[in-house]
Amino acid sequence: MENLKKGFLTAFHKIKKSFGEFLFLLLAIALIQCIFFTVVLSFHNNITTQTQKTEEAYPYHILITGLSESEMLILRENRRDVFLNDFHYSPLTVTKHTSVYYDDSYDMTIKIKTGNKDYGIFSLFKDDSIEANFRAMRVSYGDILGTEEEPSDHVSLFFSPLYYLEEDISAQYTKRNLLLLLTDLLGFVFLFALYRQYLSNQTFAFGIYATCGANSKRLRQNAVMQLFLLSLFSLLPTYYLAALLCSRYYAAGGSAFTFPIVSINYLLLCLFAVLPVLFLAVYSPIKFLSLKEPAALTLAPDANDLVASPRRSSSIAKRKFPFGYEVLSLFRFRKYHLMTALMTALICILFVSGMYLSEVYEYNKQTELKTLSDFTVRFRDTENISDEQYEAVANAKGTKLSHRLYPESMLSKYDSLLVIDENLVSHNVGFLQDKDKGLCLTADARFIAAQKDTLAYYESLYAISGNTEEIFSVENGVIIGSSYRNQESFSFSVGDTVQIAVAQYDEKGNIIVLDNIYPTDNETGLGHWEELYERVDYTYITLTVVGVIDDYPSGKNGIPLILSPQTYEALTGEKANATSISVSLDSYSAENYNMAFDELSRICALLGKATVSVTGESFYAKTEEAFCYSQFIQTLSVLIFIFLPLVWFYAQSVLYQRRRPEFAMLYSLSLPPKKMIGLCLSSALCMLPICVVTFLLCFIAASLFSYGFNTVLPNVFHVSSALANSVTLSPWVYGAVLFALLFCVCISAFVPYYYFKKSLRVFQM
Amino acid sequence: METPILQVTDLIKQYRQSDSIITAVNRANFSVYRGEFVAITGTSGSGKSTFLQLCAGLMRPNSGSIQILGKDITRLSPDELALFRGQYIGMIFQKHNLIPQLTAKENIEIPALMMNKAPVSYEHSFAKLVDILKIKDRLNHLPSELSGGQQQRVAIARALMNRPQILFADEPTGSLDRASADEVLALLIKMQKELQQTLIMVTHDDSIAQKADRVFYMENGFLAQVKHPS
Repeated sequence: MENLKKGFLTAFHKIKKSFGEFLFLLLAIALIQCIFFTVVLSFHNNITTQTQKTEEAYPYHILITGLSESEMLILRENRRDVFLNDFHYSPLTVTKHTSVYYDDSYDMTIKIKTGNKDYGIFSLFKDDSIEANFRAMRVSYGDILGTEEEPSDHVSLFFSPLYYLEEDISAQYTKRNLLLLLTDLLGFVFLFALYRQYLSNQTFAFGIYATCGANSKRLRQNAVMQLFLLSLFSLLPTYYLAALLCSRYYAAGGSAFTFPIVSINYLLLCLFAVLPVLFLAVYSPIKFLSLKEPAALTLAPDANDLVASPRRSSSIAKRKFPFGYEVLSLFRFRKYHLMTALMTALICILFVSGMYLSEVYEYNKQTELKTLSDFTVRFRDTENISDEQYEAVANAKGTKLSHRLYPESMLSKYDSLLVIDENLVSHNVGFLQDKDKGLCLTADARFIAAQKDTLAYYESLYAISGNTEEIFSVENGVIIGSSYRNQESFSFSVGDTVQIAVAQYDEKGNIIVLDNIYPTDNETGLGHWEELYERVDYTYITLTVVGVIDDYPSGKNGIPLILSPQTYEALTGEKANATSISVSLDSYSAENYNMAFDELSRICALLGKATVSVTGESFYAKTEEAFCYSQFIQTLSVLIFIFLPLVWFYAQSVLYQRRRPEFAMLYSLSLPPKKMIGLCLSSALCMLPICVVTFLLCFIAASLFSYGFNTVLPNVFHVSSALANSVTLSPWVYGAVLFALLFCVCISAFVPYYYFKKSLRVFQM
Repeated sequence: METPILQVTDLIKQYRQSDSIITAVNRANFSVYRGEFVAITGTSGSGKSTFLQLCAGLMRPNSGSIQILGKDITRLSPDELALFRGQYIGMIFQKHNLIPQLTAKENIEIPALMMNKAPVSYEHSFAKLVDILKIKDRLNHLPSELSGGQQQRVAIARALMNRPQILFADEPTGSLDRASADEVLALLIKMQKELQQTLIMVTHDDSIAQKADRVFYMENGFLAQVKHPS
């Protein structure tokens, strides 16, 4: 303890004495802490928001709908034993629905008890999660609620977001901890680079320490204590700075932000999460230094003095001053410059990638928000929902977007192929080609049946050109996508035609093939399509393009072929009937949700044989919208980007501090100050290639990200994603990178001039 | 027979410079006994500073052994060697090698700090040391505010701070004028006698070498004894 106190005191004195040397390390640590706290406080706010919103909107765990009166009474009065006479749920509300056609039905909301206090001694042997409690409840009430394998034919269950809240919060913590781990990793990289630069100007002092008996452990201990003290200085200011940043971006996203004024837990979490970063950042540079002989360390500054070496001095004389001299300096100090270049590239790439990620996230969120539904109304014993039934549901109060859920099927299900004239293919990305006939073929497409309401729904989601309603008037009309695998691939216009190669089936349902040679099952993709194309006896049906969708996520879903129900039936041989209606809320609030649900339940009861089930999809989406993830990613990217001037300025000042004696020597050898300005400008000019390469790398990184998100993710991992032509990085981002790099070049001219001026003062004294 | 405090056997140190190999120390053999004052002389570039730094554990030899207090320091790891230096060895450089950002006091305290000594444990010896070396009133000055002689006294105080058993001095008076050089040398010999230390000094000043118990001469990396104890 005494040693620790002494170590801290020594570290404090060292920092106090040479604060200038530690300033950049302090700023870097502060920046890491700021990123850390931004992540922590954002997730704190998100979890608080999610809990509040969930508890407000869903005060119950499970909604049971379609109960008969007797079933409702059994559940409400708790007439059966659950878990040794201890009931683990409480009924909250019961709603009665009166039907003119059928018996009255009841909806009941229940809250399941949590915590193990009710279990007594058995708690040791039982899982006390909400899910386990519900399983126990189902054992007693299986005849009413049904089982997972055999759901009840008239009672349906909706597990509310409150039921999954614990799981969701745990997922949030996992995400947060993963981000904190990444912050630590990033912090390590930046601190390691900066500390290495710092040490390169401390070799002499470290040589003396080593001569006086300091081993690597001792040196490391001192270094960690110094950095730990720095992290203590910046702990509270960065906490509030992060809170300020969070409040700004949550306000920009239109969400509320709350944070604990002082959270000892978060402060300690940051302090101890950053500690291993500090240790790791100093470990290898000090280890490397302590492996060197002390004699070499104490002589290091002299050995690096270019003018002291006759051989090198003579090589300078042959070069043109100052540019040639500085080009040579670029080589002499290549380790500095290499480290600076690597860090610059890393920071810029991370910034550009982060900004791109936020754009992709924003685009996906907006697209997703449009596709979500809050309720599904299902009609039992109905072959096809009639217009009257649809109108009744669509006009329910509190709802805005309703559409019938018509079937969708991949072409491959029917062994069909989409055949496109190669003149209409602008970019071939994996089609089967019939070069003789000039055709491109694929089965990676999807038949979608639509009525007017469904069409309106698609129009609300995607940019569709042409008169879409013509699919009902033009014979075999089709609305088709212009991209394939998320890449712009076709140049369709209204009036163009495509063909569907429709396979024929015999009476037994077997596909009719030429020469009785069936396509093999083990072939997939191109190979399979080729076999189909060669052996199946196809009938070709021509479809006329009446509309083109520009931004359909074809990477996940294939090329869309929106057809009228009649055309759909003709091509697939299956009925294009709708038995469900998807309904969305017009505004999101607990009152509106309750009102819409009651209204839909009332309509279902009136229509008969219809049930409404809650999906809760848009609740999750709306809650996530409040998290402001895209602004969060942007803030983190900008914080990382601030490292650029920091790292650059530090690297340059360390380098030119070291070159000070050299400048003094040049001045004493009659170098006029005017020429020195030329030397400073040349030095900046020499750094320009690093900036140019970095800027190009940023373009490459953004393109790779775009390719990854739009092509690799949807194709390889089948993850829904944005389209290449839909998400483009704002030119402001590139502008910011360019501005920052030019600023760095200016730093490269200013810093040597500053140190040259300092060297002059020695002569003027 | 008394065991030498320092015994060097067949010591070789070579440098690679461009395509050629330079042998700075060539099969040197050397023994020093407790309390002795040994001088090593030779022309510039003869390898005497390299030899001294090898003996002080500041450099690694290519081959041979260096035994100090019965321990072969060439076999120690860098960390063990650093601790060993802190406990038993003191080093004085020609260029003083004081850390410019630290005051004289802080420079002197470095060895104690590196050995984790509490200030209470060295307060008395520190006071005595600065008193003998006459730098008491210069303790809060930076090296740049001290004269060459004062800087060297601070360097001596630093080398003696942990009361090392062997003190290595690499031309400690090389950068000083005659008066300051004599003063520093007198102080070194006084301290050596008072603290019962072994002093090994590299010098090319014959008048200093004459004051040593034994004198070795180095030429092209070869070491030979030229003055025997009387």
